[in-house]
Amino acid sequence: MLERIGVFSTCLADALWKDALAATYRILAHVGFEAVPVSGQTCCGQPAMNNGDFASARAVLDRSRAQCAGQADVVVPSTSCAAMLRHGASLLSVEGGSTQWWELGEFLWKKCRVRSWPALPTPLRVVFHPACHRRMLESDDCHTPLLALVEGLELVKIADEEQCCGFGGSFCATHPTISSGIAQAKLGAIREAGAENVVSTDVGCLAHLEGVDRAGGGGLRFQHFAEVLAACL
Amino acid sequence: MPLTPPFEEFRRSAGEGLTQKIRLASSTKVSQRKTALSSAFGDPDSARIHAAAIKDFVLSNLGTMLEAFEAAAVRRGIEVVWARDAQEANEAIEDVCREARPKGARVVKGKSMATEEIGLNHHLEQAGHHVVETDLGEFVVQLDGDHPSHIVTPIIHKDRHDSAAAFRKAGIVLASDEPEAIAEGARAHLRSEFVAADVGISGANFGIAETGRIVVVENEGNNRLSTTAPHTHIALMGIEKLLPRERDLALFLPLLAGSATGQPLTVYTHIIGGPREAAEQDGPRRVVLVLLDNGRSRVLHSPERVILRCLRCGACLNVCPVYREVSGHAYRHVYPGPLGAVLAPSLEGVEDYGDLARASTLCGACQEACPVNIPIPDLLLGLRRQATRQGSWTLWRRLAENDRAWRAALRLVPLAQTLAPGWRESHARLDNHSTAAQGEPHGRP
Amino acid sequence: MDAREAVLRAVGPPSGGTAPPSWGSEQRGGIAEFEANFRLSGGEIVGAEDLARLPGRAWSRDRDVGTLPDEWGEYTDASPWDADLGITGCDALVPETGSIVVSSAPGRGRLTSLAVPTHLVWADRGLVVASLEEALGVLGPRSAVIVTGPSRSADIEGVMIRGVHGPRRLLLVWR
Repeated sequence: MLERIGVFSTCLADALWKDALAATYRILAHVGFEAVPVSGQTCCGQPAMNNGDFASARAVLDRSRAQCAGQADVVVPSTSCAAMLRHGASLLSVEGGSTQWWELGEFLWKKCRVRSWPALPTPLRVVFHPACHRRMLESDDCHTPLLALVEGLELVKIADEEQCCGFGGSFCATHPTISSGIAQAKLGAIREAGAENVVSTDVGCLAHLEGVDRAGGGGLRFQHFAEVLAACL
Repeated sequence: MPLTPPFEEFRRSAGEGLTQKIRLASSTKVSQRKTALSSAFGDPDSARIHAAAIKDFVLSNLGTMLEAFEAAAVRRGIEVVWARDAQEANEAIEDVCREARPKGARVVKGKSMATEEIGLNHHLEQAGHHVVETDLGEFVVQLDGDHPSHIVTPIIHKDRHDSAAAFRKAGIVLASDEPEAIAEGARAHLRSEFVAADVGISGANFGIAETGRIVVVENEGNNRLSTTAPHTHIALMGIEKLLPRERDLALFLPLLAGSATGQPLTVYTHIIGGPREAAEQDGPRRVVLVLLDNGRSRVLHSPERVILRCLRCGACLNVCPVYREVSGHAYRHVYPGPLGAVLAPSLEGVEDYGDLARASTLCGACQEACPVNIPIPDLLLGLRRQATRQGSWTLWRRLAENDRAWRAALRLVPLAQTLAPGWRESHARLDNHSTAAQGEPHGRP
Repeated sequence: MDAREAVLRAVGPPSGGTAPPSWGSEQRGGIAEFEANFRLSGGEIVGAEDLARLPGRAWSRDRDVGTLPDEWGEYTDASPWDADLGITGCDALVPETGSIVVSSAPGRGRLTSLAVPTHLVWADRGLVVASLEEALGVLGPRSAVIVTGPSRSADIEGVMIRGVHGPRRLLLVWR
């Protein structure tokens, strides 16, 4: 019998990038889990916290963590939501519960110890954009080692690869010129490296970069990390 | 908050040229920093964590350490003056300048952010003293009536032609606009200032509690000339700049130099032990150290306390995506960039500088680059909290506490195409992109 | 209340820790590493035979620099401001950074290594210490400067310029 595991879907994936969620379920099934959505889940609380209303953020985060009570492991296919559920919780002094929150790549690399992966049906040259909130996860890089396992996938290095995409949650709404300026620098570096596919672990980054790219008439293709791994299955 | 935040306004009016300059310079500095730190330390991260712990020890024992430092400095013949605020510091420094030459002293200055913080030049000039900045970048800033836009490289926003124009406007002849020619012009012009100066003023990167010595680092030699050639040397030092022991410098000097400019050490590290001795042929006859509080003791007891670990290396500016777009002037404060976004509202209040804390993507690159591991993103969040009415997001909270209402609301997100320029386009993807899991809650196939 | 008392009161009593955390450098280097890093920093190592070709008027009052060959350069009596070459001894040499520690010992002079276009260091191989930490332990009681390469600036467009205010050239000759 398959081990059950919770999936915290995240709002942005739910609203904008459902393919990432479908891919997450396929990946988890491939590594031997029966993945089920956390019941009654809503938001991790990040929007309110980033806007300074810690009280509202705490209430929502508390609720989300409580929804997972009793589950040993929950997978989150978003770096920034995973960071909120862990680092954000400590900032807001939200305690209790024994659930381990895993960002998807972390879960595959560290918990499942995935060390091999099927090949891609068609070769792909890919720029991996590491989502900034990885820094709040205080975890080693799990994504480039995983992507390196995939035959047919070529990782392309770009200049300033650790730089932010400029999204920043509501920052992109309050500071649109700066936000898209940062994205354009990133997109420029990607084009300079001659890549056409961009992969990241956060729908926020992907949607932001894709939007700025399209507005500028660019033709890059944006995929969630989970979509790339699922494409091999 | 105004409809268009000041940062946006600044970016729109500054345009692409400025941003290109800063991006390029910053990107170079970031790779130099990484190379320098990994060759100086087997494990740079462990060095950062150790340095943070030592600075935290200093902050926890600041009072006793200041007293120990003062006693040791006085034994060396250094005069120590305390200043509660900018005005007291300015007055103390002006007193010493007046003692050096009552009718207006000739003052040469090494680069110091603390003197910028208290507006020292203006104060001394008002009192009739002649003040010259001698760091190349700061000299250009002074000639141009400008402000530094970076705490380490003050004219990062200017190119060679801007700098050369400032020299010519001041009547200083240059052979060409080439950087070498500009530097030669500065060297020739400022040499007579060093020889003629009555007073030299510097900042201080570290004060050693154990021995009472003052440490100043630099690359050009102007700081050393300022603190050596004139009769009187005045150093202005924030009270948080102490280190417990001299041997702590073995950690902090390479950490600071590597983080600031990617060097193993700066060209000159001056360890100032007091005025010249009888048998010495040169060096100042009088050394005065001004200890500056100016809000630091208040920050010490605030949630932003750990910002006082800051070494002013500028690494957080160089990695910051927002700083790269707008440069230092957008921050409206002596201390720009991520460190300024914390320090300015902590020192001056969130009422006037709260918007700085919002002008960040919270990407965390600053903390990762910080040689004393200051959790800048967490501090920015805390400042946003102070400037926000708790419960102002109650409507959102109610929605998020009901999963059916939440899912209904999420369907509206793609329709709300006013979020951001990027997203306006991106939201169109729903029409043709995500079909696999449409209608299923949470995308379960 | 005077400023001192007011600042100390605002700072408040100690709130934790009895001794500062310790940290030990792992650096251990020797003469070869010093020479490599000294050159990397922009310094030049010259042989005694090169000294005669050095430019113009020299300045030194350093007793450690007593036995210079007569045939090279003339000494000036004016001041280091007018000299072409300033000559000092040194107190320690740091392998990991290629730095030279010059104290303000009587006679050594602070301006001799600073106001001149070329600074020549007269060094003894025995002064190479194991690490920066060790060098800090032999600083002596007064002032000192740790010199790492010739004077430089990158203020203008990040372009590296040598010799902005301090010496453009930093030379070392082994005794």
